[in-house]
Amino acid sequence: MNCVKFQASLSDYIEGALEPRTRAECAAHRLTCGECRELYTDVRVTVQALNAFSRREIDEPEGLQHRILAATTTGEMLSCTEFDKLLERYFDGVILAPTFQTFQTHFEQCAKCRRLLNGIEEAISMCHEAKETEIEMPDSLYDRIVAATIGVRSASWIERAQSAIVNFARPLMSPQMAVAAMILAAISLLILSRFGSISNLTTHAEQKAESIVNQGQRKIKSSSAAARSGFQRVSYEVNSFLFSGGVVSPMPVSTPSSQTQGQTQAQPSPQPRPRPDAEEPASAQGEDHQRRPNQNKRKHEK
Amino acid sequence: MGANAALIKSDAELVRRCRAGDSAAWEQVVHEYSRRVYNLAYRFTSRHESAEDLTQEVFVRVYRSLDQYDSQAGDLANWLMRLARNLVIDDYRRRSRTPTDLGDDIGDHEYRLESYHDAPDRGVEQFERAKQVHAAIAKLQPDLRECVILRDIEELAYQEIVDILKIPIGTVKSRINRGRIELAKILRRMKVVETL
Repeated sequence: MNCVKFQASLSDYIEGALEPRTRAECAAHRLTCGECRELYTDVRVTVQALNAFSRREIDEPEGLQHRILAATTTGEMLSCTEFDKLLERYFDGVILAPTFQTFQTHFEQCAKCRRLLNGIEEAISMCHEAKETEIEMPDSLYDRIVAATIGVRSASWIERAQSAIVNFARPLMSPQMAVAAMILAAISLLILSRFGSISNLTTHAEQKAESIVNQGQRKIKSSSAAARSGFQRVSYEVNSFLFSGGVVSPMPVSTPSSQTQGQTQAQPSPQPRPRPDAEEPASAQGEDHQRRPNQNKRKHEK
Repeated sequence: MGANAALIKSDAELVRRCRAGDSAAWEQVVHEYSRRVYNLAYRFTSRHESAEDLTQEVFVRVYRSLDQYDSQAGDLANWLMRLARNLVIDDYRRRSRTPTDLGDDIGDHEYRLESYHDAPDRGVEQFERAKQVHAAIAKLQPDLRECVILRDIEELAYQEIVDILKIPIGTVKSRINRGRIELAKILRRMKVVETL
């Protein structure tokens, strides 16, 4: 037995699988050859170490089982297509328990299908919300529907009249009309805030115009009176000059004001005597009247 | 997982319910066997990440093959682990032809060896040593490695290895022998073997 032969039989020798004769030869070689003795020991120890591995398993990494399940359940047990098919039944609530488990597992593992299902759920909840909170229908839509349907069915004369008004009014509903309406509204608001109402405005205007007319008439009267008194004075002086030939004392123009005033008010008819004092209030008011009468009169004419 | 359902005892019932789409039953299968499959995958890949990917792949294939399980022919554990082993080895052989991803976990083994020597904790020691052995296994040439793993870690009979690898029993035996010697030499060079 040489080293090559010993090494070729080494495994069988260690395992005890050799014939008794060969085993004895190997044992003899092991005793004489130091190198082969060392190798025998090393191999024996190595095999023992390897055998120990089979009994001492290393731990599988955390999450491996989950990964395997993900790979098998999403890839094999329930495909995304099958998941799609089950979706309808899921929302109808008619998936049986074992299928539901598979369905649920796929849902947990597959991000794509998770997004799909969540999206559908969201859409459904949005539909419910929309059902609960109705938005206002535009009035024009109602009109349009009525207009569209009225032509079809035999409408009553009231409806026909309504539709005629609607149809007539529609072209008026232009932006320009809207602006005009706004201006009108602004003006009426101004009038209302100033006079309370339109009728107040007219009565106010009437009163104003009446007082102006009265004042105007008064002024005309007073000026005509002044003209008359002036004429009387001139004629008096001419007469006195012509008939007396001397310097005459001035005509008693400045008669007691109280008397004149009392006469003026008492006698509405024109007075020959001048009333210088009456001119003052007339002129004071005159300014006011000169500016306003025209306006107020115009208003009144309106 | 599967807390809402009592554990299903019978393999036939378990598989039948898995095939009917009962996710709780399938969760039970994954819970029971994922650790074993992961360990198997790790022995062949020597990398946690690859082992995870491989384990996942195995379970996807297992799930697809559930209708091939015959409870009369044996229990689920044997059927599932045999399927897993075949898949892991297929994957291993595929990667062995393009051995670009081998050896990364071994690169830092020298550092680990040093730290192991003054590790005070026995548990840490064992853990470190296991890592050294895995590193050494990863250094074996692929055809030797698969035979050694199947024989000495998976503890399969020669005939089972023959069935899986589909090579003559003589080849299996000689590969196992060469693999063991090679591995022992690697471990000696790494100064791990003295501590085993």
